[in-house]
Parts: sequence; structure tokens; C-alpha cells
Amino acid sequence: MELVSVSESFAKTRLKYLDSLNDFGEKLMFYQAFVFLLPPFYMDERGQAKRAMMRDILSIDEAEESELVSHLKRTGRLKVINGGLMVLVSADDAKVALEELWMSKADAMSTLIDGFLGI
Amino acid sequence: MINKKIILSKIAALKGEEACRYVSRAIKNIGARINCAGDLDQAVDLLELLAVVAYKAPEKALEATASVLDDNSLINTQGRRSGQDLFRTSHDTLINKAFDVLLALRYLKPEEVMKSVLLYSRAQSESLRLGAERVATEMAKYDYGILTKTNLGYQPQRFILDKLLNIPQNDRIGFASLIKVVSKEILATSIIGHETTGPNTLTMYSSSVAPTESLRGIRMDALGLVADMCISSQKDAEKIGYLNVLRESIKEPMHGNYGENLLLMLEEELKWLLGVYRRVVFDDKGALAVGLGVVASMDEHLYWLSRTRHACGALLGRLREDIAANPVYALLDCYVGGGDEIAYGFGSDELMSRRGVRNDALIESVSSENSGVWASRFEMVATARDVVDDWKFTVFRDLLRNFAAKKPELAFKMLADSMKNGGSLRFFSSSILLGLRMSSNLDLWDRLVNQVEQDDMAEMRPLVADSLVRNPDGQELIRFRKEEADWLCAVKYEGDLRLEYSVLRAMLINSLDDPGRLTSAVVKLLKQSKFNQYHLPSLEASLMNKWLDLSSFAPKDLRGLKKVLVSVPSFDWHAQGIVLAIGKQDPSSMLEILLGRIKMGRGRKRFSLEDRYEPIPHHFHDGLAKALSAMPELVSRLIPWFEKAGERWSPMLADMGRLLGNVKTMASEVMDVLISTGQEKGLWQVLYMLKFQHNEPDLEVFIKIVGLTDNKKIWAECMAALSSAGGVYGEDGLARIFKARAEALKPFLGSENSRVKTFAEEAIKNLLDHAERERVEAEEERELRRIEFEG
Repeated sequence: MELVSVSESFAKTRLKYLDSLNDFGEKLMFYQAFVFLLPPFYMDERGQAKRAMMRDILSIDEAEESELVSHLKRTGRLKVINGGLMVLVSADDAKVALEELWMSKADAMSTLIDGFLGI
Repeated sequence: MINKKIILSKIAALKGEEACRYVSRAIKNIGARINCAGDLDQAVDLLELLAVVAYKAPEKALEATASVLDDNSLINTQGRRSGQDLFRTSHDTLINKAFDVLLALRYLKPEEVMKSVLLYSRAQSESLRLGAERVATEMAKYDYGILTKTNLGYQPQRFILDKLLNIPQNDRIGFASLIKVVSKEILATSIIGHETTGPNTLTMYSSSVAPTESLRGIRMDALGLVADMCISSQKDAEKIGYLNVLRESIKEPMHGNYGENLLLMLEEELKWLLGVYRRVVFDDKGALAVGLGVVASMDEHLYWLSRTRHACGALLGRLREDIAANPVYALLDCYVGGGDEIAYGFGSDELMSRRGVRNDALIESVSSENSGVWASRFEMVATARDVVDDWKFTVFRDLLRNFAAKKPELAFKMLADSMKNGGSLRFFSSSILLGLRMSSNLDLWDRLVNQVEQDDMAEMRPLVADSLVRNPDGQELIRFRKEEADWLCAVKYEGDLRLEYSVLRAMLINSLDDPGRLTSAVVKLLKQSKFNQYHLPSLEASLMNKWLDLSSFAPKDLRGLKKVLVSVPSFDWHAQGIVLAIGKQDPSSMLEILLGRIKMGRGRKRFSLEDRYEPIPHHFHDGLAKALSAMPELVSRLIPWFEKAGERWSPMLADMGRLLGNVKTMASEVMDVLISTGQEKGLWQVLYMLKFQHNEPDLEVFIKIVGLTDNKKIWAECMAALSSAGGVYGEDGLARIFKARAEALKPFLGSENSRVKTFAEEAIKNLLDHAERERVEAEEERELRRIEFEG
């Protein structure tokens, strides 16, 4: 376990791949995939650092993030326990989303995960 | 917080090509990063990550691991990767993590893993050897999951055994430890496994091996390997180690159902094993080929087998008869316990009577003509102490004691010769010396002890002290002489725990014969010893047995004893027992010692492992608590202590809190006095002390405190105390406790004291908030467990 940190080079590379990420559907998939990959994921102050990193990676603001979460909740993919812990209703759905992302954006995903793993 | 292992394991579980390619590349990158890791911690983290996904690219994972294990300069050069004080520990951790990677690959790359195991099982570094053995053990284990969910069957066991069998005969001794641990696993008959079958469910499985042809072949080869090692081994202790593996191998499964087939297989193996045992014990001419300890160990096993394995009864009985017929072993069998106890029952009348008759006859038969023969026999039995458990020599010790009592001159000569020649019988000198004392052959005792002192035989001194028993077996009291007291008081301990123990015990047992002198010597020993904590049980026992009379202590010695009780690091059950005994004569001494400990605790390191000092223990002696409660002047003696103590938190106040928490009546009286002053100093002292009382908070006390002050800091402290709890049970345990406390506070909402009323309102709100938060956390914990289970 380590504190959330993203190196400068990682941030630059990330932007190169993800600046073009405008499609709402893709962002939804990314968000879902991150909730799956980075548990525990909290909506309250406990998840602030992690969610700020997510917003930075997806180049979205808090309003857009709220819209993504609301959509995922509305479509029955996500639930929030007592306003805190974010839980995926189906881990299998998230796996499919992750597979798709990897097929469509393999380089971007590799860069992101390398950054998370620090390798 | 990001958990790298979770991220990587989740990606590794994906089936897509791109994800697989990524994981493979990640493993390579991790390997490269390990090689240039800045410190051990980083390398350990990377190896942990590698172990999670090694199965996805085994070759690359092996390469990365080899670079850690093969890097001799890394392993032997301190500080190359870390300048920490705990370098060695961290380095062992690194090695263990590398072996974790090998462990993850044991079924995927058995050839390569086994190559590393064989290489490192002979390494100089213990951590490398143990790591290699750990991997081999896991590989040889009958794993429930592997047996039920793969088609591997017994292949892993066959594979690893073949590797061991391929080691050239002459080299096998170098792999002795590996062969032992692996064979033990291969020859097991039980299979145990577990599986997480739900977010909150762990299912345990137990079963037994199936006696298929392939398993029979594996087992016979493994038995053959161990038997060969046992026969060719040169040392008795090693032979016993191999015999223990063989002994375990023919045990029936501990769990699960098994049928006749398995029992038949074990019977066949036992028949074969009996032949091996014969070859181990006897040479070609039928003489004993091994030390008595090995024979004793085997005979004990054979006895128990004869009770359960009737199918091999005749064969087994014949081997036992042949062993028993050996005159040298017969001696050991008779006089080193084991056989007799088993046959006639431990401590039974028949056993004691038979033994008495036999001993008397034997002692009678020893004469000056044949004493040389008997001396060498006794020496032979005594030599077995290297491999036979000490408690089994009780019978032999009794024999020697009676022999010395009845034939003192012969016993004296045997022991003197053994001392002179460095024989093993000298390690049993306490029995012979005691026998000489029992028969009043005190001049012989003096001569032997003088010899010990003259030749400065340090290892003999504890045995001399052990011979100074007062009334063995409840027989007539043995006279304790001035010469013996002189010797005890003159012994130089020099930090020898064993010697201190024996000397102290002898002094305590005999203290009534020379009270003034010996009690002084006891206190002197306790004051000087760095092991005084270990000696307190003996002191307590002697008080309980009335060997020691505290009223005979000179005032100076009693003061010394109290100082010892203040200085011992742990105020354990025995120390408290002694304080209680002192308190029966002088109740004020109890408080004096306890306050002394609290004062001493002020300057000591509580959390240092080397220099730990616990002034007041968590487990308090009931008798001591009662005795303290019964002291009428207790509160009046304690109040001045609080007047001198400050209002800020201090270790002394914490220890006083712990003491009062154990003596409840005292606590409430003292606290009432402190609260009734209405001064904030007293209120703070009460609050700090309450922190160290592991009881349910007393609401009345908090209400009394807040009713006297508007100080918000004091209110906050009361609130914090109400919101903390010690042990609870169940996921919602804390929530239940907080709700119950809120409920208990409700009557105070109607209090006429406005402070109390306000506090009750705030505390109830706080507690209910806490309860709700605890409920939410419990729900989140359940979800997190579900996430972890579903992956």
C-alpha cells in the first residue's frame, strides 16, 4: 500500500493518451473499471485523494464526476453504502468494461497501470 | 491508498490478449526494477507484486527471483541496499519473498523450482536453507485443492521424490534436512485443506490418501530413502530423527474416512519396516550397532505398535524380545523408565514394588569385586542422556541414590572416578551425593564437594546444591550442617541461572535450620541476580510450603526483599503472592512496595523490549486486592500522594489508576475524596486515572465531575471516555455499547444541575452519532469482504 501519487512523466504521458477521451460512454467505463481496480472507493472525505486523481486522469470536474456516478447508480451498476463506500453491483460487468478498454486503448491503459504500480 | 497487488491480480485475471501481454511485460519490468531497487523495502514490495502474477509468465518470474537469490554480493554485503539497524531481518524477509515467488510456480515450473531448492538447501545462510525447505515441503504436501481440482494427482510427490533419489548416495548426507522434511510430507496419510466458500465462510476439508499403485510406489521409495539414510547415518541423534520420520509414516490418518485398503498398505509397510529396524539396531553378528538412546526410542515405538497393530504382532514381538535380550539394553530399559511404566502403569503399586525388589537385588549384588563392571554399566546408561529425555532418568536417579545410601564407599569411588575421567555418571552426582547425606556419610560428601571446588568443576556445583534436599520422598529429615551452609553461602554465581536456581532452592529448603544466615544469603542472591524475576516462583513456593518464615527475617533483609520486589521488571503472580505474604505480617508494606513500584516506573522505559518495567500488572492478585481493601488507613495514606502529584498526565498517575482499578472499594473512596474537593487538579487526576481502568465507565463519576465545573476541556475528556470501549463482541458491538450508554444517560436529562443536563444532552447526541457511525462501518466491512471474495 502506498499513498496516491502520480509522477510528472506519468502525468504527461497520460494526457497524451487521454486528452482525447471525450466520449461519456468511455468515461463511464473508465470510472467503473477504476472502482473495480482500486477498492475501497469512497464517496465521502475518505475517498477524496483517490477521486481527485481519477478526475485528473479522466480530465473531468466534480460536476461531471457526479454525473458519471449518478448514471452508474441509475443504471444499476453501482451502489453507495450509506453515502460512503462505493460498491459495484456486478464485478463481472466491470471486468468486461476493463477488457474493452484494454482492447480499445491498450497503450493508455498500460501507461496508467504502470503509473499505479510504479514500474 | 492504492493496493498494487489487488490491481495487478485483477488485471492478471482478465482473459484478453492485450491485458495478458501487459502482465507479461509488467513481470519483466518488475524483474528489472528489483535488480536496481534502491533499498530492501522496495525490493521486498516488488517481489510481493511478482509473487501475485508469477504464474502468468513463469520464466520471467524465475529470472527475476534468481537474480535476488543468486546475488551473493547482495546477500553477504551488509548495507549495500540498506543501512537500517534491522538489516538482517529485512534481508531474511527479502529472501523469503523470493521463495514465495518460487512457491507460486511450484506446479508450473517444477523442474526449475526444484533446481533452486536443491541448490539453496545446502546454502550457508540459514534463511536460504529454510526458504528452500519451505518450498519443497509445500510441493510435497498432499494439497486438497490440487488433488480435487486438477489432474496432477500424486505427480508432484513422485517428481520431488525422484529428484531426491537422483542425488548420488555419497552426497545425500548434505541434503539430510531436506530429505527429512520432504519425506515426512510424502509419507503423510492425511489430507487437509480449506477454501473460502463465501464472504464469511471458510470451509475445512479433511481426507486421507488413496492407496493406489502409484502412491504405494511413492511411499515405498520414500521409506527406502529414509531407511537408507538412517542406516548409513553415523550419529545417534540423526538416526533418531530418521526413525521419527518412519514412525510418523505408518500412522493412520488423523481425519476423514479410510478403508481396509489403506490399513493393509500400512501393515505391509510396517512388516517391511520391522526388517529395517532390525538392520538399524543389530550388526551382522547380532550385537547392538547403535547407541542405547536409539534403541530406547525404537523400542518405545515398537511397544505402542504392539498395542495397535496385531497383524504384525508375531514379527513385532520377536524383534522386541531380541532387543530386550541384549544385556546392555536391558539395563537401560530397566533403569531409564519407558518399558516398565508402559507395562505396569505409571506410578502403579505393582511397578513400585517390582522396581523396589529389583533395585534391592541389584544393589545387593554390587561388591568391590564387580564394582568396575557396574561402574561401566552405570556410565553406559548415563551416556544415553545425550539422546534420551531427562525425565526418563528418574528411575536411574532413584537407583543411584539408594545405591549410595547402602553402598556408600563403592558409590563414592564410582563418582570420584567419573569426575576424574570426565564420565557421564558425574551428571547424576546429585543423586549419589544425596544418598551419601541420607546415610550420614557426610565425610564422603565433603570429600567429593572439596574435589569439585579444588578442580573448579563449575558444571558440578548446581548438582551439589541439588543434593541438599531436606526430606526426599517425605522421609526422615536430613540434618543440614554448618559445612553445607558454608558451601552454599560461598558459591560464586557469576550470572549462571542454573546454579543460582539450585543454590537458592537449597537455601530456601533448609532455611529453617539456619534462618538468620540463610535468609540473608537468599536476599543477597536475589539482590545480586539479574535473573531475580525467575527466582520469585521458588521464593513464593517456599513461603507456601512453610520452608521459609518471614518473621525470621532481619529488618535489613526484609528491606532488601522489598527492594527486590520493587525492582523486578514484572509484578507477576509470584511477586504479588510474596507481597501478600509480607502484608500478612505488616499490611503497610504492601502499599510501600506498590507505591515504590509506581515511583520507580516513572523513569523506566515501558515499551522497550530490553528494559521493560510494568509497575502495576493488568492481572492483579485477588488476595492482594482484598488485603489492600481491608486496610483502614489506606485512603488517608494515599491522599497525600495525590496532593504531591501534579494535575498533568504522568506515568505515575496512570499506574495509580491501574492500581485503583484493581482495588475497586479503594478506587471509589479515593475518587470521592478527590472530586469532593471540587478543585480541577483533583478532577483531572480522577479522569486520567479512569483512563487506565479497564472497566465499563462509571457514569456517576463523570456526572459528578461535570456537575462541578464548566471547564470544556474536562467535559471533552469525560465525553471521550464515554466514547471509548475495551473489548466488544460482534460486528455491531461498539454500536450496541454506545446506545446502551446513551440510554443510561437519559435520566440525567431531568437533572436540576444545568451543567449535568447540558452534558447529558450533548453526550447522548454524541453517543448516538458514534453508534450510527459504527453501524455504517460494520455494513461497509461486510461489503468489503464481499468485494474481496468476488475478486
